[in-house]
Formats: sequence, C-alpha cells, structure tokens
Amino acid sequence: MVVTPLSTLMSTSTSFASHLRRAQGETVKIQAEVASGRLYDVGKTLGYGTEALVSFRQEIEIGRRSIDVNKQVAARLDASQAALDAIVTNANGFMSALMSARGDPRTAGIVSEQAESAFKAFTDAANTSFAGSFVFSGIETALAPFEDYFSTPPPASRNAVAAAFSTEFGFSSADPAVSNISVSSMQAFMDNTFASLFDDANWNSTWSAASSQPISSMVSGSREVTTSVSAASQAFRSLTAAFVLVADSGTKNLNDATFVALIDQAVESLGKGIALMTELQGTLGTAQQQVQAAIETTSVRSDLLEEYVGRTEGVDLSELSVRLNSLLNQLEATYAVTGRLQNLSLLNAL
Amino acid sequence: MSLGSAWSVGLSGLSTASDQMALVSRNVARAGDVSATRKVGEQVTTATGSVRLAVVGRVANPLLLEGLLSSRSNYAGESVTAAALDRLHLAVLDPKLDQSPAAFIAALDGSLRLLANDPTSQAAASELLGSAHSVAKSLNDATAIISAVRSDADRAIADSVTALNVTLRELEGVNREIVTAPAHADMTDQLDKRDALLKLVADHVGIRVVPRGANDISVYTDSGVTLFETVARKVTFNSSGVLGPGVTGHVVTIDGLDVTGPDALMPLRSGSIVAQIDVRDNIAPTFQTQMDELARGLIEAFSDPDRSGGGKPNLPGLFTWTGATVPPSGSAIAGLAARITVNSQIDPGRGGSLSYLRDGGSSAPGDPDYNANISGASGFSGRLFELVGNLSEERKFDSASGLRSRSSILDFSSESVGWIDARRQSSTNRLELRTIIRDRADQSLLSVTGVNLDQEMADLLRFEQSFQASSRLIATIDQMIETILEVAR
Repeated sequence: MVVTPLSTLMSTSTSFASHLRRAQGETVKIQAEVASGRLYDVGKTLGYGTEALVSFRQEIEIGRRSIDVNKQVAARLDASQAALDAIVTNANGFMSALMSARGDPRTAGIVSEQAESAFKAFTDAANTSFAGSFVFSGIETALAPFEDYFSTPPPASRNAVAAAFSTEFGFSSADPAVSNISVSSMQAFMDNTFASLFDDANWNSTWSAASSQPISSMVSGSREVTTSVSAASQAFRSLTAAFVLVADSGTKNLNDATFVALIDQAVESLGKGIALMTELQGTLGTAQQQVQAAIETTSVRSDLLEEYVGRTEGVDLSELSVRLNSLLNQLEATYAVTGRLQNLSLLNAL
Repeated sequence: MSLGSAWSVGLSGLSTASDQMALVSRNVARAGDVSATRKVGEQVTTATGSVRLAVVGRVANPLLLEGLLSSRSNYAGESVTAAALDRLHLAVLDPKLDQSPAAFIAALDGSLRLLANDPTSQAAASELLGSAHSVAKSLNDATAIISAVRSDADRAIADSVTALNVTLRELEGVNREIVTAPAHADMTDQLDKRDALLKLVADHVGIRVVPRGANDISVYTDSGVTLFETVARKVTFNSSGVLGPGVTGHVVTIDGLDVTGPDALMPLRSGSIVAQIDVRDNIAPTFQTQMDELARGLIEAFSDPDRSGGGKPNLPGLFTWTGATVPPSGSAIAGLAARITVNSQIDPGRGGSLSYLRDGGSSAPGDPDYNANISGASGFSGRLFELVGNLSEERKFDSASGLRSRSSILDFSSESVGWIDARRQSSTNRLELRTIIRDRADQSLLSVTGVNLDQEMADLLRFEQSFQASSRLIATIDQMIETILEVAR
C-alpha cells in the first residue's frame, strides 16, 4: 500500500492561509456594514440592480427640489389669494359707498375721495410682490403692474384720461363747466372714448406693464400649471375703470342726473370686475389645490422610494450579528486547529 | 563470499545511508519552499551485493501542474479585470455619495426646476450654473479616470511582456541544462525551477506544456502559438504611453504573429495580458463611450433650435465643447466627455451672462432667431421648462455604449452606473471562484509533491539506524579480521 502523506506546507500554511484570508475579509465587511447600516459595497452586491437604485435616487433628488419649488409656488399663491381677497373686499366696500352715494348726489365729493382711496388700496394690493417678483405681472415679474395714478407728475394713464375727457367735452374734469354735461353725452363718453382707454392696446401702453402671459409652474414631473393671474385681465381693467370713473371724471361737479348715470356705470363696471375677480380667485384656488396635491403626491412617492432605497442598500443587523458570530467562531476554530496541527509533528517526539 | 566483500558492502551501506541523509536534509531545508518537490533516492543493489543511490528522482504530477497552470492564468486574468472595474467605479462611486454623473444630472434637473419657478432669481441661476459645472466636471473626471485605467493597462501589458520574455529566456537556459545533462544526473532542482518558471509564464499567458523526449518540453499558448520550443520565442509589444479617448493601443505579437486584436488568428484566451487588453480595448472604451454619449446628450438637450423656422442648425446652449457645434444624434464622438464645458457666454465668471439660461441663444448672441424670449420678460420660464422636459425626453444614443439606444439622459446616466456595477459584481464573483480553484489546484499539487516533515523525520530515523547497523557491521568485521590476525600471529 502506498500512502502519500500531505505536505507539511500544505497542511499548515497554504490551505489555512487562503481560508483565513477569506474569513478575515468577510469579517471586515460585516463590521463595516454593522457600523454604517448599509451594504459594504452597494454596487458590487446589487450589480444591475444599482441602476434602479441610482434612478430612484435621481427621482428622490428631483422630487425633493420639486417639493421645495412647489412650496414656494404655494406660498406665492397664498400671497396672491390674500391680495385678491383684499382687492375684492376693497371693491365691495367701494360698491356700498357707490350705492349710498347714488341715493344722495350731494355726497358726490365724498364718494370721489372714497374712489381715490379705494383706487390707491387697489393699486397697492395689485402691486403685491413675493420674493422680489410682482405676482400679478404675468411673466414680466420685475415690473410693477400699476403706477400710482395720483402721483405727481401724473403718469401716462392719468394724462390719457385727462386728454380723453377734455377732447370729449372741451374742458378739463376740474372745470366747473362739467355740471353742464348731459346724461346722454356723459353716457356717450363712458361707452366710447372712456371705454376705449381700457382696451387691449391702451391698457398695455398706458395702464399696466403686466404681461398677459401668466406664470406657469411645473408642479409634478413635467406637467405645467398656470399659477398666476395677470393684471392685464378684464377683472383688473373693470375695477380700474370704475375707480377712475368716480375719482377722476369731475364727479363732484356733475349735475345730479349725470352723477347718477356715472355712478350706475361705475357700479356696473365694479360689479363686473368683482365677479371676474372671484373667477380669478377660483383659478388660483384650483392651482393651489394642484400644487398642494403635487406636494403630497411627490412626498409620498419620495418616502416610498427612500424606503425602498433604504431597504435595498440596508443590511439586516440581527442577521449580520449571527453571521459575524459564526464567522468569528469559525475563525477561532481554525486558529485552534492550526495551532494543534503545528504541535503535531514527529519533531517534538524526537 | 568473503569478509572483504562483506566489508565493502558494509561500506556501501554507510555511504548510501549518508547520501539518503543528504537527500533528507535537502528536503527538510526546502520544506518551506512552495516550488520544492520531494526528492526521492532510488537505491540499487549491484551484482557484488553492495548498494548505491542510483537515481535521485522527485515526486511530480504533470496533470495537477497543468491544472494549476490554467487556474493561475484564469485567476490572473480575472484579478486584472476586477481591479480595473473597481478603478472605473471611482467615476461613479457609491450611490449614496451622489458623486456620479447620474447624481449630478439629477441635481441639474432640480436646479433647472428651481430657476424655472423663479427665472428672475440670480441665486437660482447661479445654482444652475454651479450644477452645470459639476456635471461637466464629473464627465471630465470620469474621462481622466478611464484614460488612466487604459494607459495603466497598456503599461501593464508592456511590463508583462518584458517579464514574460525574461522568464522565457530563463526557461530556455534551465531547459537546455536539463536536456543536455548526462543520464542519471540529478536534475530535480532544475526541474523544480522549470516548473516554477512555467507558473510565472502562466500568470501572463495561458499555456499548454507538451512534454517531449528526454525531459524536454515545449510550451504553447492556450491558443496554440508556440511560445517555447528549444528556444524562447520573442514576445513583442509597443507601449503607447498615454492613451487618450479613442486612441487604440498596439497589439501583442509572438514571433511576429498577432495574438491579440482583431487581426489575431490565434488570439490569447487567458492570463493577465489578454485581460489587460480587454480592459484597454473593450471595457474602458465602452464606459468611455457611455460618458461621451452622456456629454453629447447633454449638449443636444440644452441646444438652441432656430426658432424662426429658418432651418439654421441647432447651436450649443448651456453645454458646449471644443467643436462648438451640436454633434449629430446617436453617434458617439470619442473623448467628448473630456471636452464638454459650460458655455462661457453663460458664465459671468468668464464674461458671460446668466440671462441666456432663461432666454437661450447663448451661442449666437444678438441673433433673434435663437432667442426664445424676444419680449425680454424677466419672468419668462418657457425655455427652462423646455430644458426640464428635454432631460427626461427619450433620445437616441450610440449602440456602441452597450446601453439602451433609446433612453432619456437621466435614465442613460443611471443605466451606466448599473452597467459598471453589474460587471463589477460578476467579475468579483468570478474572481472569488477562481481564487478558490487556484488555491485548490495549488494545494492539490503541493499535497502530492511537497515535503512532509514527519515523513522526512521518519526517514531520518530509518537511515540513521541503517547507518548505525552498517557501522556495527564494519566494526564486527574489523573485530573478526583482528581475531584472524591474532590467530595468525
């Protein structure tokens, strides 16, 4: 019988060395995983799966920014809504002033002043800015929608009104002669010359720098939603017309009949403006809902993705500790066996 | 039989025992040497009855050696591949670190959305510019890493070839010594040396060893090209120094015959050289193509179309490159990832203006056909929304990238990370397996051919006793002769 004994080198060093190397490498990995709670080498462990992981991380990052952006949009919408509320409240207050003035033409002077202050309040609200941008200027966010109508020197808008008035009647609105204006000629003025001051071309050149193109926002993914209303819309024009008509058309000197006709026209214009304003509030309300919904959807989705990413990259600590324990035991056994084998030599018996 | 012949037999016993002892001490002395085989003395008895050590042989096992050689080649090759992939992975790093082009492109998307929400914000515009710089830099850096990997592979091939030639010449010397030695000469150390040299050769190139008469061998590559037959064949390779993107390196030849590259009739199959060639000509260039395509996709996605409908070519927008054009879709330009930059027209630090981010037309200042915001509205966000859309829009990519040929930039960038990690995973798994196979082959050979100290010790005792017995014999014969001489006196 031929017995081939194992070589000493083989039995003591090489086989154990390679085994120990592997076991020690594994121990280092497990220790790192326990410390970080994540896989030691995510890419190596997941292979192709890393693509999904990276893709999800991209989505989480973009989602995070989208939420930031949407929160800003929501805040801007809130500011816009508050301004519209102020405009509507102001307009309603002016409406009741007009109603009471209609029954008492002697209060013409008072209502003219009320118109002036209401117009100023309206201008202030319409010039609301948020984070340095005017909210009602459409995409011309750097330009204020309205200039102060009552500033000196008077702005183009006021000059245009004054010019229209004196061209129509041959004297300025401050002239006492306005008391001679008949109801019909006043009505003709209001229906034609005055109304045309507020048409598209004149509105843009003399009244408001606001762009008719509203701001839109990407609320979720690449879906664009209109998130502003512009001062170029009819609502703003009708209100402006009502304020100007009462404040700057020689109201306090008009005869009673013409005064009532003017107030009627102003009430009609104001009412139309308020109704349209409410529509704009509705538009913004819809946008607010969409933005809010997008914030919620995105954050729910991001949370889910984060959870998935965490679960994929993460390690099960209890499983790890079991593995580490058995590995350490195994290592110790290997050491013990190696030590024993080292002692097991004929040399010791000689 | 006479006392005289008994005397000489006893003497031969003594000298044989000491020869055997010498063998034992040789074995013991080299017990720690992995290339040492166990030496065995063959004892013969002559017609006169005396003994001598006729031949010194060694315990060898050609089959196990062959297994070890091929497992070493496979291991050497895979460890090269795994190391190169790990280095390429530096271009993307762990997903959590967000240092990959994919992560920077996602951040760019986020910055675009932020600016689109508030196009007047200088802070948001600056952030977008910073994100764009990060994207361009990550692609530039990736190219630098890939080029370094390729250049290093090229250098490693040159080193391997040099080492291979040296080893082959050494092999030639040792082999000649073995072949020309007189019969019965002790060639075991030279044979050990030759085996050790073969193992070194196998690390570089997969080989087949074919025995010929009289202990001679010839060595062929695993593809059948003669590497050594009586004389060493010349392996040649010209190193290219630094290998930029798109520059191909030279091929390895043996005896003037291509053994790597597309023209090789008998291409090498295993060993470190062919793995380095694969890294240099295949893995790294494919990854480079992915980066180049990403760069091209970005230039394309951010380019400005002629908005007048006049049919003028698209011009580079936020991202441009040394060519300053928008390269055609779906075909990679080698090294574009190294040349992509942020358009200086947009960068205020280089005399540009951030307003081009909002309006477009950065490559044609003053040309209204490329301006998306003719009215100059400060809150214009249409162009920025267009760009956000472009990032997630499907576009065509070169199939040489090894990735989906229709994909969005965001998806393409993440797929690229998956590509490299999938390769790292499989390479690491293969390497683990091949390490085990190599270790097992090593151990199998060693356990059969190696020295066992216990056995040597037992032999030592045996030869010691035989020496003592022979000594006693001679002493006894001496006594007997003494007795005879006394009787004769």
